[in-house]
Amino acid sequence: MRNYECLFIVNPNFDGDGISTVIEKVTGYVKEADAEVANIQHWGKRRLAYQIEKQQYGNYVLMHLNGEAPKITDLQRSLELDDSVLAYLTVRLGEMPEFDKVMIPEDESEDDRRGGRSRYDDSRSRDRGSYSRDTRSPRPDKADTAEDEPATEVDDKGDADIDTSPEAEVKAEAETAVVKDDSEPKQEAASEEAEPVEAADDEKADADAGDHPESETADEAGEDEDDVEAVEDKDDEDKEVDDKKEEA
Amino acid sequence: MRFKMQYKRKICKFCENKDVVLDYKNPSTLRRFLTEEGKILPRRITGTCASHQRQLVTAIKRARNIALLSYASDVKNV
Repeated sequence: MRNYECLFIVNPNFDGDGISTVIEKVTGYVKEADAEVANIQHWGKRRLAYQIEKQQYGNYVLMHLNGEAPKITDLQRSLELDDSVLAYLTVRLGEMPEFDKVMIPEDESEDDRRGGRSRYDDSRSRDRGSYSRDTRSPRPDKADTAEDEPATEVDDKGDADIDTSPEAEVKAEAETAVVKDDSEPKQEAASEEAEPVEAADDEKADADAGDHPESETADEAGEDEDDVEAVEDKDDEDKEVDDKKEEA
Repeated sequence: MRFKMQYKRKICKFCENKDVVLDYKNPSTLRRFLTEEGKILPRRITGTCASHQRQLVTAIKRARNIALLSYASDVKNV
């Protein structure tokens, strides 16, 4: 016994109850072929990439089977002869997949009318998605505002309750006091910390200013020395040239 | 002066990401490896490794057989 996967397209003219009857008929073919149906997955009506028997749409049904190879050809023959099946594809599998994890591909057919689209169209479809989101965005905002209004009312009631109860007032005052205590020392600490940093910056700036003139003067002196040497070298070369001329 | 273009080496999408299922029932992933007209893109352009390209080709051809992908579409002249 081997594992097979049979994907077939049911003619869309057999919609609704017609599909279940077609599926029953195909399971009958499977039983005739001495095979067992392990799983049936109905993908629903999808747009075909190209017309088959002048049909633009088709109902995809995926069926997992256990059967023997020579008998599976009988199943294929009966699917070929059936008028309600537009197309079929049987594939031999190594192992049966976990049927829960078999994904039904998304139907992008509404976006691509011509079929055979590429990555360019992926981007186009994404753009469409974003546009649709933009158009939808006002609605959620309205919903948010509608939700907010009742919420604020509830808050007002809550405040009223707190005002009436003296314990709550005390608590509220205590909280504000605590907050003040926390905030003021922090600010002071921040100011104290800030001043030394500024002072340090000033010192650095002074140091930098002091450094620069010295370095510049040193460089200039170095350059001057180099120039003198270069001039001497030139003089030497001239002398040599003169000597050669005399020899000649 | 000699100037050599240095290209970034392409990595096989299926080797890079093991979660991507290479299956004829998944036309949206297969469509990345097709031209706009529905022709199969060569390995040198997509960077797919040899073994995955062979699997990809069988998957695309199966998907074409069952009308999940088109065999060819004359997009340019429509």
